[in-house]
Amino acid sequence: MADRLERSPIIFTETLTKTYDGTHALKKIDLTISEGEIFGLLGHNGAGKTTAVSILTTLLGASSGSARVCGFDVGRQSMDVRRSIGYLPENVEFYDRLTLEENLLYFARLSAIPDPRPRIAAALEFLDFTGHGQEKLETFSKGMRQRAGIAQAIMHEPKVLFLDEPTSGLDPQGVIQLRLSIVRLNQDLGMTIFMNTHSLTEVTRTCTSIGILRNGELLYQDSLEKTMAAFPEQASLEDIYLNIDSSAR
Amino acid sequence: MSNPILVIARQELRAARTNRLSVLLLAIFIGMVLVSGFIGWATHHTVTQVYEESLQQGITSAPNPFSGQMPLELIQNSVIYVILIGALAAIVLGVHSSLDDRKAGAIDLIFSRPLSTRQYVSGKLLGLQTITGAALLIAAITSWAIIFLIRSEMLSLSVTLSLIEFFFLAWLFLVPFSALGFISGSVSKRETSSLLIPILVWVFTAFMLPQLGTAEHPVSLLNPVRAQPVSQGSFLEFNHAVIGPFSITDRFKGASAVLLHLEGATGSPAFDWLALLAVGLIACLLAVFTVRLKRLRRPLYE
Repeated sequence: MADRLERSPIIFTETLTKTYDGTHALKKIDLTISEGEIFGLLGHNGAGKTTAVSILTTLLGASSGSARVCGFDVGRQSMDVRRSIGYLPENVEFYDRLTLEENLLYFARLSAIPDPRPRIAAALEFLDFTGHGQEKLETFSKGMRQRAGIAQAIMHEPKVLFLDEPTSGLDPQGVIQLRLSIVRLNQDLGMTIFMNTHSLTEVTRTCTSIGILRNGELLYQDSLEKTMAAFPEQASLEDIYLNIDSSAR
Repeated sequence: MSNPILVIARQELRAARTNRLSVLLLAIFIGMVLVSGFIGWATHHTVTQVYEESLQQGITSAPNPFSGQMPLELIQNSVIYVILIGALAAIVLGVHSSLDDRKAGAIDLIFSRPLSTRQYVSGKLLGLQTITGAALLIAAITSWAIIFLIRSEMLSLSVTLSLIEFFFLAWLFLVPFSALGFISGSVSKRETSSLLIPILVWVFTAFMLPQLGTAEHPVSLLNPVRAQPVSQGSFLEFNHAVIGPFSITDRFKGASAVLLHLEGATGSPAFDWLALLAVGLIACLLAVFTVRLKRLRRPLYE
């Protein structure tokens, strides 16, 4: 924990609230994520995970409170935030009739990368995905699409990468590949990862810190190491999650 | 090229190239222009043949009815095709432009990059207008070639310029329809309603609006002749005066008749140009200022 506090917060929210037609999707969330972490946001369906990511990626406005990513306010400095982040939505589809390279070139140009082709090649190589550039997306499996999505999200070398349910719908091989990619992005390129997930296995194997969201409320946030130490009587993260979740009911 | 507007426009061209429906509609439109030329050629050929036979048999000594015909009259059916097929194609292109991004789930990806909604919409509109412009350019070249083949003589510079002006006017006429289609595709909850709404607007603009001022038969409203009020001092004449400027199909028909030198077409098309320019500009500005990210991100049903 001391190490976490020493590092500067790269994602910071204060009483972040989102209301849809009178219903609170997020309730006064205070979240601090330090640079270099792999943060896993856990919660059941409808807990507010995607809403939180949508606000942090500037796709959705907050009802009240504030949020900063890489030092930029998500509301007032949305373009600076977007330049600093990469994002992989839950169901990444792209343009099926175009090739992987055409798709990536489009997003590279939108990211204002001056010479995009070498960066695309580097991203594909990093993800062990070379040789697929001329294939149309319509021929890709879900796992390949996810990797294409990550390539799109890292081409401009963002400081923070947001992943919304990245392993959803993947076969075991795809899950392993994606997990390795996430860890390498964090360790080799120093990216901070913010990951929404249902998968406690993934959190245990990849994350350095966790947060638990329930009905829009952040019930818990700490490093994975501290969490495991704080609940010695619980056998696994699954037990800890259920314990925290049920105690809030 | 890092200007987001140009990046979006370029992607629009690439996406349209791979969209079978868009390609089909544009092919149909260009095909209809070819048909227009064929009809012109067939009419010219048949009437001339009958005329020559009649002349040989001494039945007539009158001059060939085509001898006084202006070259661009041969493609007068193109006016109808622009109003019918062109407007529908522009609507479909516009609807698919936004709908395809929404259906592909690409909106969140696009807007995770540093570009504003207005830049996105401007880029889309620029792409759409380039596509319709390119289709009309092909149609213009095709028409020029057809007229040249039928008449077996080069078209004069003034006739060529009139032809270019006509297709430029057609492009201007299609601008609001593609913008309207884009707006509809951006804000609709359902795919079917996104097509239905602009088509209803097109029906209203092409048929109902001019009819309110003329009481003409709907089919006759397609002819490249200005709609006329029924009688002096009538309620329809009043309606015609009020509605006329907003009836862009009537503006297009009237100006086209002048540009193609059709029989009975008189007057300056300056007001028609201005009206079409104003409506096109308003439609584009409406798209730029009304389409919101929140709407684009809304789930699409069906």
